[in-house]
Formats: sequence, C-alpha cells, structure tokens
Amino acid sequence: MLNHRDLETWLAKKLKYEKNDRRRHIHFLPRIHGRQVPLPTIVALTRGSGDVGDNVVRGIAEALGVRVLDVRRSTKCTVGAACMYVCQAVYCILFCKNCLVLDPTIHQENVAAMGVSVSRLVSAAECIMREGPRRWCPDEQSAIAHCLARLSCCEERRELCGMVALVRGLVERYA
Amino acid sequence: MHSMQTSLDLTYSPAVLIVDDDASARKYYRERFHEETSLGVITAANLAQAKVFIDSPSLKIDAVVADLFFDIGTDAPDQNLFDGLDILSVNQRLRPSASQYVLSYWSGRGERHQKADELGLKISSWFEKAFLPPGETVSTPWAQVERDIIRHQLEKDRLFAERLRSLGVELAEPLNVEAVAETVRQSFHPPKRTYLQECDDPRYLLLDPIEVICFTEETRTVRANAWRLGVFTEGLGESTEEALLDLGIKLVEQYELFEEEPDEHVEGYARLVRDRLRGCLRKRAGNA
Repeated sequence: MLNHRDLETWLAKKLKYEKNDRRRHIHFLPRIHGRQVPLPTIVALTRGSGDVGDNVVRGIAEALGVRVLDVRRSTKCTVGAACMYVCQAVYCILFCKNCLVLDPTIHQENVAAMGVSVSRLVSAAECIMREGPRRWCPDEQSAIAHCLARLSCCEERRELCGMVALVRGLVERYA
Repeated sequence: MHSMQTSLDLTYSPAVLIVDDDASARKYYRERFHEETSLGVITAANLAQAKVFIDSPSLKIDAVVADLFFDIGTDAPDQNLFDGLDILSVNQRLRPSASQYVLSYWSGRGERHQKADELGLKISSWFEKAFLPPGETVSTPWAQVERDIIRHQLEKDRLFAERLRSLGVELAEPLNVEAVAETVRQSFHPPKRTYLQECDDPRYLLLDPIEVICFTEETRTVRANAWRLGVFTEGLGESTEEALLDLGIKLVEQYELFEEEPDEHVEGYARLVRDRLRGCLRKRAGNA
C-alpha cells in the first residue's frame, strides 16, 4: 500500500510538483525553474496520514495520465519527472477531446489555451531529458506507450494534431 | 473525466428546480433528490431567483417543485410573483415541457387549487410537505417526480428504451410505460448532471450555479466534476452532497492559488481556468 507521506514526497520531490497547503487540501502544481506550468492544480489531496485509498490512487493516476500501477510503484521512483510531463501533456490533450464530446462550443477556447500549456510541458520534459538521462528507461517506455495508445483517438481531429505531434516528437527523440 | 464521458448518456440527465424560502426545506429536499434519484437539483430561495433560473437557457430544468407561500422579501411583487403558483405559471409559459409540482404544508387548501385552475396551470401533483427520515418507503415526492420524468423521456424518445437495454436495464415486453419507469427508477443510475450553488466558505459567494457531473464508482465513491470550468480536480465523497461540498472547497482553493500568482505568470490554459473561476466566484464584502 501507498501511504500519504510517500505519495506527497513523490509528487513534491521526485516529480518536482509544487506542494501548496490550503484550507482542506494539499494542492500539487507543476512548476519549472520557479515558474508555474500554466495548468490548474493537477492533484489535490485531502490532508491525512496512513494508507491512501484505492479511489484516491485511481484519481491521481487519471489526473497524471499514468497507470494505477505507476502510482503504486511510485516509491521505487522508476518513472521520472520528464516522463510524467509527457503523460500529463497526453492527459491535457485527452481532456480537450473529452470536453468536445460534452460541449463543442467550449472546445476551441480550450484547445487554443491548452496548446500553450502542452508546449510548455513538452519543453520542460525536453530540458530534463537533454541534461539528464537522454533515454526513457523501460518503466517510462511502458508508461509512455500506454499513454500514446490513448492518444490515437485524437489524431483524427485536426485541431489537436499539433499538440499530438509535439508529444510524439519528444517521445521519439529519446526512444 | 475520461471514464465519465464514455458512460454519460447525454440525452438523459434531468434536473429539478426546487423553489422554497425555507432553507431547511431546501436542504432536506435537495439531499433527498440527490441521494435517492437520478435527478440533478437546483434550488431557489425566492421567487425572483427562481424566475432568473427559469429564464436562463444554460440551466437544464425538467421539473419545478414549488412551495405555495413565500414570506415578504422572498416574493417579488414588482414582477407579479406573490406565491408558488405564480412562479409555476411563469414556468409553464417559458418551459412548457417541464412538469410542475406543489410541495407545501397547505397543499390541501381549496382556494389554492381554485387559483391554479384559474391560471390554467397543469400541476402533476400537490405534495404535502413532510420531513421523512432517509430510506422511508412511503410514497415520496422525489420518487414520483423521477418516475414522471422517466415516463416523459420514454414517451418523447423512442430510442430511450433501446439504449436502456444496451446499458443492461431489463425491460419486460410489451413495454408498459408505468412499469418501465419504475424499473428504470430502481435500477438505472446514470451520471448525474447537477448544480453547485454554495462553496462552503463564508468568505466567498458563488455568483451562478455551476454545472457539475457526478458519477458513482463501483466502490460507491461519488466524483463531482465541474468540467465546464476546465479544472482538473474533482470533488470526492460518499454521497453526491459530500462530493459537491468537496468540489466547492477545491474550487475556492484553486481560485486563491491563481489569485496569489503574479498575473504575468498565469498563462495558457491556467489563465483560461482562472478567468472562468473569476466569473463565478466573488469574495464577500468585508473579507479582505
């Protein structure tokens, strides 16, 4: 089981998400070189101790764009920040696609703004990869493959193609 | 978010407007509708607010449940709205397909029925107000309103029964609308489109109802998603009410996080979400 303290440490230290204590929840936002990646809170944890519930782990995995397995194995630190940014970018693209299903009128506005945020995530991941590992490790490859498989449903949408290409380009450069 | 869309039946997401000037009655009936039906809920504390909601094309209202008598200050004489029947009359004109109900301690009063007749109101039921404990099995307003809405859905959407079958709801042949409505009511638990109207933080005020989609996981955890705002975090709880409460708090926290950030740092998608939050949340006067 994953406990609250390990999860918080993973998000704040390993993934470099900024931990922000609010009234009832702890918010985690991506921040690179002190500047916020232009996204809302990725994960908001209810303050607590002890083991993290299954539903919370599932929610975190979904919000980060990774598998439940990746969150459960987080203490082993097999998936790095760059990989998480890629998964996060994929989540953002899927988020836009899903909003289109519910209400096409807000889709264009979301896509235009999300383009800026996804390119920032990709740049941040590129920066880490260039200075560090230069290749995805096996666990990261597996997490990314899972993500990219989910992206295939977005490729038929012309307005999402640019963001999808950015992510795919980065993944291939460090394959 | 992803799982929500794949399971959401977009054509069946009804909501009920409850109009009552008594805060405890609004709370009680909102909870009963939320926890015991597939219906979303929006509440109005006075007749003027109810009219604004009925007028608003962005709010989905499939039924209106109105109290009869309103205290001075909660009526709207300047708009010719003096009691619950007046607001039902407005609703009947603006939203003729929404079914209408009276829910009052005085539902049996003859002169009210006479006024309804004079106004030409179609009122599906006159309910007596009663605060029953959760799980009470006697006939309840929320159950009847839900049954009526399902029946209307079956009548107007010929493919609805087919879609129910594809979702695993067993319907007997030949279809009997009343029986189907009851079967669906007991067995069909689709994601719920409802509205967040309070943020559980005395420092802040929600300006307009925020559309929220709630869905229940197999573990019975309810997740509440304000997807129109574009926030990523969801409210979590063991009931719809709890999940909405959690979501309201998260929205305030998110708003404060954005407001503390230098303006030039809030770009791209974050700016879009911040501006949407600014459009629906206000700091109350006196809270610096």
